[in-house]
Amino acid sequence: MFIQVWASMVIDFSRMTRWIPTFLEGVGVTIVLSLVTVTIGSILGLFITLLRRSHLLPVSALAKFYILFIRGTPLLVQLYVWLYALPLIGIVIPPLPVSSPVFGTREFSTAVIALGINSSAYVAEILRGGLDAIDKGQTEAARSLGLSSRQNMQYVVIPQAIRIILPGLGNEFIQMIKESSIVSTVGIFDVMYTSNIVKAGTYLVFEPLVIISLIYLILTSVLTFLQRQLERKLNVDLKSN
Amino acid sequence: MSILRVINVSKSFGKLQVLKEINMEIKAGEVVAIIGPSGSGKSTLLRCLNSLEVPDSGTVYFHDTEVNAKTQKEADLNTVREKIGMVFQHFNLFPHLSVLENITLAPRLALGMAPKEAEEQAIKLLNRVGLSDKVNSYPNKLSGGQKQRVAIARALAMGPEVMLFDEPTSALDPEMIKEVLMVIADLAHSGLTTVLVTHEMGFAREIASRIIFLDEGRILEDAPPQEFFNNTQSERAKIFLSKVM
Repeated sequence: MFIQVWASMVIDFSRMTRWIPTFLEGVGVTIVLSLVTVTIGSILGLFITLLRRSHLLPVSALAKFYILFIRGTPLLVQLYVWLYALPLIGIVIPPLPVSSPVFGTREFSTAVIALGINSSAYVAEILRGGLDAIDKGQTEAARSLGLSSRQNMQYVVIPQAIRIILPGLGNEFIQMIKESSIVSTVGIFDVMYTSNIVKAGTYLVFEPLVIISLIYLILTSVLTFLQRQLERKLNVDLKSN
Repeated sequence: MSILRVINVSKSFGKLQVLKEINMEIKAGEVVAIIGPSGSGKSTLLRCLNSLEVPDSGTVYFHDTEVNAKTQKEADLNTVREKIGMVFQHFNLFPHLSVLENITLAPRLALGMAPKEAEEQAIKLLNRVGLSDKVNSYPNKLSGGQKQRVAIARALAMGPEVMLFDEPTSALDPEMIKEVLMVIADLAHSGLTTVLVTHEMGFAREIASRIIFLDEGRILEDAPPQEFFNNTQSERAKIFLSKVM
């Protein structure tokens, strides 16, 4: 099965079949990397959001600068800084204690940190948007009833903010599936990297790129679908005061 | 016996001084209506009473406790706020909770009331405001008047010693004002101490035991309704009344 495009070029997907395990391995790495990254990014992002809402001016200023810096510089630069610049001044991310040739490398652990920190700044912005969207009157009502500021957050503000935040977090995850392809530049075996392997093994360029494009499209489409379902479930009985 | 005392309270928002050395005392059982033109500082004064606004200078006392969200320990402030019910212009119901949950949330969390007891109390209160059929509704399914009545029930659930109403009918369609005013009148007649910021002059005249007229951050008149409406002292209040009545 092949299509003749130019006299000299033949597109032939049949030679891709024996590389399917390689592609699947890359899919696994991309999913794990994105999941771990978004998890770290969410926890760290929540922490940054709390710092940013601090009444101590230097603390909130530091958090704002963190967000500005991370969002204002390219992810690729951040990855290189973590991997090649910071070790020169003694800051090295140790490899994870696993025997896997992919997950147990310094490159993988460093990529997780770099991507996680990058993601945290975006998550912090999403959280801020969600919390700011809750009308001030909600907090006033809660506090006027004698609820503490912690109870107000836990029972009044956050349950409402989650519905605003979740779609944003879902988008961040989808974004991360795509953006994580950047780690292929430092030799991590993700979906993007598999196309290089297949290219080297078959001397084919067109077919592996089409295949990984489809893989990314399928991954993000499935996630988008799941996100819609979740949103629909959360929106059953709500909106407006 | 005074429940609330306001001593020399001033408050500015930026360059605008909203309250100018206000002194005021609310005694147990009084029904005080605060009236005055827009921007006169009525709502700010009311919000100082439970420290939603903190005065720049001066002091607010609830009984003998100074109420101040900036200097007071949070737990002490919360204890005071439990005793001061507040109803807002825009209801501020919790949209993610049912009517029942809106009313039981604070008694359960702040007073540690058992869920069952809190629910029984909530149902009684809903009966009192005429909404016993809305127990399981969500706020977005209620009319404005119904929302405000739920908000009143929610405030009453904490067993307050005094109720603050911040223009409770200003955001309502005309046909819903009466149902809310009837509930407030019922409370006032039951002897619950009430401070009401309102534009409803007829209502203020009917239920208030005292009228406070505020203009440009100062109390210009403080008198029983007959005296205030029939024998208005200040020129400002006369002009105001001639416009609204």
